[in-house]
Amino acid sequence: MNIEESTYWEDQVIKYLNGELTTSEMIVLQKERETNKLVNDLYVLNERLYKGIQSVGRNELQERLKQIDEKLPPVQKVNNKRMTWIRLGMAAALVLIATFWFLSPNKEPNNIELFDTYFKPFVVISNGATRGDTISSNTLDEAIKVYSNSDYQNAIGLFSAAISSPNQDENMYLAVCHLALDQTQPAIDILSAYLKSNGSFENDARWYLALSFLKQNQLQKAIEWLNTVLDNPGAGIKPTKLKETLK
Amino acid sequence: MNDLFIVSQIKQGELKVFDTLYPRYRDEFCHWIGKQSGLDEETCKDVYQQSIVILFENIRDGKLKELTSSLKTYIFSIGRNKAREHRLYQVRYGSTSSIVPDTSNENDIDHETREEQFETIEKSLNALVDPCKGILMDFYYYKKSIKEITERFGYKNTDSTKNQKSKCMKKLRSLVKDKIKAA
Repeated sequence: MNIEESTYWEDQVIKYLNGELTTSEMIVLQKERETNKLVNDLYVLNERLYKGIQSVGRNELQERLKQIDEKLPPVQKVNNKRMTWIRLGMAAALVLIATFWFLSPNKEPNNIELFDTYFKPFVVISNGATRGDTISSNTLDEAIKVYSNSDYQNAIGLFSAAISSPNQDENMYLAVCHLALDQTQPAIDILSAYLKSNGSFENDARWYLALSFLKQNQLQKAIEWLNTVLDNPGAGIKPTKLKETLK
Repeated sequence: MNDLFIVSQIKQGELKVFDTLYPRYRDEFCHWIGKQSGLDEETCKDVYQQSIVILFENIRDGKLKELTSSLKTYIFSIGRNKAREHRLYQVRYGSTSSIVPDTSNENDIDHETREEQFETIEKSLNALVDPCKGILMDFYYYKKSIKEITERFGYKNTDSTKNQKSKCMKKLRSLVKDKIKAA
C-alpha cells in the first residue's frame, strides 16, 4: 500500500469512527478490511487511538469540572422553605388519594389495575456509549426516539432490527414496548434471555418480569420474581409495596 | 443564561459555559442523588461531573438536537443512570472507588487490557509537544473543524493544518507503538 492509499484509508477509518461515512462507503471499507490486512491493521490501530483520545478528552473535561468544583463551597442542603412546601404538597396529595380510595366502591384492585399502577416505562437516556456499528447505532437512536414518544409499535420494529445479542441493554426497551402493548409473552421471553446472558440492568429486568407475570395473572410466579427484586423507588421499582398489596 | 443558550454555547465548543452550568445544579443534584442512591458527597460530585461530560458529548455528537425537557431534568436523568451503574459496579466488583470505568466498548477486550491501552495512549498524548496534543484533542474529541483549528493555531491555510494533523497522528502512533514494545 503506497502513502496515498494509506492516507485515503486512514481518512475513511476516521470518518467511520466519527459517524461520517455513508452506508455504501461503510460497505466498501468493511470489504477492504476483510481482504486487505494492512487496511484492517490501520483500522484496529486508529480505532484504539480514537477511543483512547475520547477517554483522555473525557478525563480532561472532568478535571476541568473538578477545578470549578474546588472553587465552590461544600455541597449545601436544598432550600428548607422549598422542601417544606414539597412535603406539604405530598401530604395533601396523600390525603386526597386516601380519601378517593376510601370512597371507592371497589377497594380490591385487580391485577391489571395493579399492573397499571406500578408499570412505568424503562427510563430513556443515552449513556454516551459508542457503538461500533454505525448502521445499527443509527437505528437504535431512532428506536429510542420513537420509544420516548411512546410509539411502542414502531419502536418494536426498530429495536428488533438493530439488536444483535440477548445481553444488549436495548432489550430492556424492547421488552417494555411489548409489555406496554399487552404482549406479555414476548416480554417474558426477551427479559428471561437478557437475564440469562447477564444483562446490566438485572434488577430492572426482574421487576418487569414480575410485572409481566402479574399481568398474566400468574401471581405465584410474580411473587417469586418480586422476592428477587431490590427496592429502587427512584426508578419506580417498588417490589416491597407491591408484595404487600398482593398479600 | 437560559437552557437553549447553554446548549448553543456547548455546541460551539464554548467550554466557559461550564463555569455557570456546573454550580447551578450541583447542590440540588447531590442532595437528590444522595437520598436516592445513598452515595456520599464525593461520589455524588463525581457522578454529577460525569453526567455533565455526557451532556457535552451528546450535544457534540448531535444526539441531543433539541431539548424536550429542561436541561436540569436531562442532566438528572443521566445522573440517575450513572448512579445506577455505580451501584451495579459496586455490587459486582465490590469496589469502593468513586470512578466507574466506562464499560461501553468491552465486547472484545477485557477491562484491564483496555485500561492499560488507554493509559499508554494518554501517556503518549501527554508526551506530544504542543501544538500536537491540542490539534488532536480539538479535532478528535472537541470535534472542531479544520477551519477553526487553523484559526486557533494560526496556520496559513486549512491544508497546512491538515498536514500538521497528519504528522501529529503519525507521531502519536509511533509513540504508542514504542511504548507497547517497551512494555
